[in-house]
Amino acid sequence: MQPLKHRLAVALGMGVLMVSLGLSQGSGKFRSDDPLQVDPDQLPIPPPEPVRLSQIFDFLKSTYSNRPDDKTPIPPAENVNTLGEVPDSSWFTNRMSRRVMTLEELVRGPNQVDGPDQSKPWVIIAVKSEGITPGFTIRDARDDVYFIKFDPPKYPQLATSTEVIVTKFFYAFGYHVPENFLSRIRRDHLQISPEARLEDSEGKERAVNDGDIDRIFKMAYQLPDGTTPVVASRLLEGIPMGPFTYDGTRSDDPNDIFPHQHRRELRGMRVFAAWLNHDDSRSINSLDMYLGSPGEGHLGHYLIDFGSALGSGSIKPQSPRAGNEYIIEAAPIVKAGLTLGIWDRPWRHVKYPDYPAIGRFEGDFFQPQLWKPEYPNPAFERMQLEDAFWATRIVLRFTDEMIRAIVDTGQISDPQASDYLVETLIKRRDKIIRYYLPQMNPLDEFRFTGEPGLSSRLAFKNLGLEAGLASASSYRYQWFRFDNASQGMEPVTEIRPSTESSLAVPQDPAAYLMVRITTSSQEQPQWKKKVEVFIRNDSQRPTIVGIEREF
Amino acid sequence: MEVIYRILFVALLLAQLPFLAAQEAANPDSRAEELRERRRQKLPESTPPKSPGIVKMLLYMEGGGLYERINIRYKDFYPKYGQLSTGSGGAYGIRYFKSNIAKSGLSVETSAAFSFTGYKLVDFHFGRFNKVAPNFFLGPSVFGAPFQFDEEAPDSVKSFIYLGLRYRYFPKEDFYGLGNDSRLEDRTDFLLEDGFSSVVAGHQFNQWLGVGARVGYLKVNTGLGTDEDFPDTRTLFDDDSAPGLERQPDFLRIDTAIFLNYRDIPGNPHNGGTIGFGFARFDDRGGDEFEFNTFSVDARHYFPLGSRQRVLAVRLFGLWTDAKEGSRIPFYLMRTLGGRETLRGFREFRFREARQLHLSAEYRWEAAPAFEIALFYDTGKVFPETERFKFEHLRKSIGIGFRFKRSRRVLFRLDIARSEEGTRVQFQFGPSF
Repeated sequence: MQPLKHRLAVALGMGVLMVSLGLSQGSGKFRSDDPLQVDPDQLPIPPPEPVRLSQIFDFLKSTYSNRPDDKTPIPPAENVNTLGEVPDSSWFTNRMSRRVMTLEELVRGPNQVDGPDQSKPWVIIAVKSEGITPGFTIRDARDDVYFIKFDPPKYPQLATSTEVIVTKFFYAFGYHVPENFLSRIRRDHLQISPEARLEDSEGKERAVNDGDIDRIFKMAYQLPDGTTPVVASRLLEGIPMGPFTYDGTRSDDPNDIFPHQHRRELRGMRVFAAWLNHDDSRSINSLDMYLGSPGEGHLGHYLIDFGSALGSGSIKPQSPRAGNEYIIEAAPIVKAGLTLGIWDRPWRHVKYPDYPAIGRFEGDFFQPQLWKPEYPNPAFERMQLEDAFWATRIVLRFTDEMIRAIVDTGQISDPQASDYLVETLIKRRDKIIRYYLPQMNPLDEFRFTGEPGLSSRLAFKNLGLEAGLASASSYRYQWFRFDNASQGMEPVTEIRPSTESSLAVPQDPAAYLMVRITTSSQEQPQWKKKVEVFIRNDSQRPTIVGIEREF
Repeated sequence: MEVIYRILFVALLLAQLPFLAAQEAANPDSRAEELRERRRQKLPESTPPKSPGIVKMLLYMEGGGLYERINIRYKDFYPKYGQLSTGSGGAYGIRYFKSNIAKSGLSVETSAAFSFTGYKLVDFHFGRFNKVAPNFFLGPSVFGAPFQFDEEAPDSVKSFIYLGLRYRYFPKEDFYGLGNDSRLEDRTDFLLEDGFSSVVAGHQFNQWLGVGARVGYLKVNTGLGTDEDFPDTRTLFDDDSAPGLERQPDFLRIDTAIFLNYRDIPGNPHNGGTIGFGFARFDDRGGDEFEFNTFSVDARHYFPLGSRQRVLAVRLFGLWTDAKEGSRIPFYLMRTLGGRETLRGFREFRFREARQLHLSAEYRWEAAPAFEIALFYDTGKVFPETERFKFEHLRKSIGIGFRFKRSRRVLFRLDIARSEEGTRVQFQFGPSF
């Protein structure tokens, strides 16, 4: 190589290095505001155009394209903070993920009021006469607007209880959901607004008449006392802007910068959806709302319509396929085809107890890793173990008592059915925990104990032990100095054993410390995977700034 | 050369400086600020999402746009599409339908349709009905109309009574001769023109039992077929080989039928079955040359084979026609074997006789909830007298079918059938049986 050519190459190389250094020196691994608790995704934007979703296109696209393949590695979730958590945002609010909610909070859920006011007749302002779940929209005495939906005639409480119960769960998980209330109405407690319109079966708009309402009531379950149980869903605040998708970003929302398939709360939702058999977790059951006055607002992202979950298929019990197979799935079709149907899907032979209020919901055949929604969900399909761990930690926090309290909000009148639902949810919860927690080091809830300084200790919980996945465990750990700029590490201590779930923090002047912990358990060999906890070493007030896990 | 390299060296170093400066500015020591910056950068690029043409088209369909366009309606007038008969080709017309006139519970429906091949159909119904019977008698795939066995939420109208008037002009109806041994090469065609006035009444007691009756006056005329590819029936057949070819009397026609339905899902059965019995009397109003009775049985059963998704479906259809001594049965009123609903490997109208026995068996399995594959076997024969019936020379066809369906209804099917007379591919809306 000629000397000057050599110098040129050096200049280029230096350039690359300087850029790299510039990047790392300017930012470092941890920023001053890490770990980020709130994602600033509520910058004021003008109201975007409402979007419409083609359900057929969504189905085709999700089924036949946009599927992850073996050749392209799936990147980690993008919207997590340095602790691996999802910051509060217009998509998600940390509730059970940040602290254990009280029973009262869980039972109240998202509800800000006590349901529709029945002191005066409800005024029907719109009717949905077609579709899977006919219903109507009413305005109550307080001028609040609610969507009213019913139970199918043969399955009292199936859809209405499910809607309320699952709403409470998803609220506790951290998602934005509407306020849903159980209520009972009489036909004569309804008035039709002269402005109320509906689209008839021929697609023509016309005024609503008594016959339309009678027809809807005929398709609904009625109690012997003449009342009809309903679920009343309060109109969401803001202006509806159409559903969000589970992939890509919304091009007219500057706040939307993380591809949805790489959002941890959407990926991890697969675990929640599996637990509650929310097979209808697809775009059409989501809604973006413009919140705030025009020009000063932003989009909020909601999950809506939980009628097809647990054992309910909205107008009938869930199909046995729900949660077990996509609508179109090549492998079982080919398998059945080649054997002329002699090979049969195992899920078709699952027996369900006969509870009309529950439908088809069970916990013995259920396997969380095999659970599937109606058709492939781009975010669910990209869920990685890190995402599943994040969700499993939340599931783990639901005690039997909490599950019972939430199920009770469904007011299922058959106590045996109610008990069965609670038992099944517990069974499915335990299966989720038993599947995901053994696959990684389950240390969590790191915190400092003792006074800052000599007696300071880093305490943690072994979630696996608490969940009964092992009878005992011990730990090996090593402290490092950590250089935030260069990300270099230098041992402070040798590797030490511990049987306690708290470690003495070494006295060291380094700005950042890191401790690497592995867990030994005869029953759970995967717990040997590393957990690295990063500490901003302020002697007055040390802070945990990062957690990295080996998966 | 060296000068050039020196200049390049310096230029490269200088060129990297602004980039480094920019990197510094874009990476403040605040995670939140970095995210805000990314969002500010996206702001000027924000554009409303663009839907590809296919999405717009699908949205139009899903929003009912296509349905509206196909079902253009002016007040209570609708366009009408479809086939009037096998071989009619596409037919188009107009339909008027008004239900519950002045809240009386009475409805009126009338339509007129014409095909490019010269077929015509005009009909009128008035009375109390939920839906009119397109084919009241046993046998069609729409089994048991106008009952509501298949309705999720049946209307309260369980009794029906209506007046029906119908005029048909079908100029290319096929005739191959009578009997099980009729020859394919004897295919001819004739004009079938009839007018039928009737009163239909019935009652559906519950989801499994319905009875109905019809009384009507039938005027028939047969004439020269207009299909240029085949000879007219009169060129190959006479009144002996095609009874009724010379003279077509008027008939007083009386029908009764009883339907038992115990299918799990009538529109997409996996278990249970249905049985229908029908009796019809044809009374020659011009004498006694053509007086006869028909008795028919249509039994269908669906056997799940260890799973709801593997079903053996069996249909047995039998028709006996007894003419009064000295009377004959006109060929144009004989039921036929062959085609999409009977012997699928043969052409429509292929075999005619006074009596027939037909069995179809299908092994169906749902490869997916919306998709079913079926292997089928059809067999049967027509015969003039029961005494001469033997289980010999049965006509047979086998095939494979692909069905696209929803949970409660078969939407359409594609059957590929093979018989001694060749392979036939048939597309049909609705189930096979």
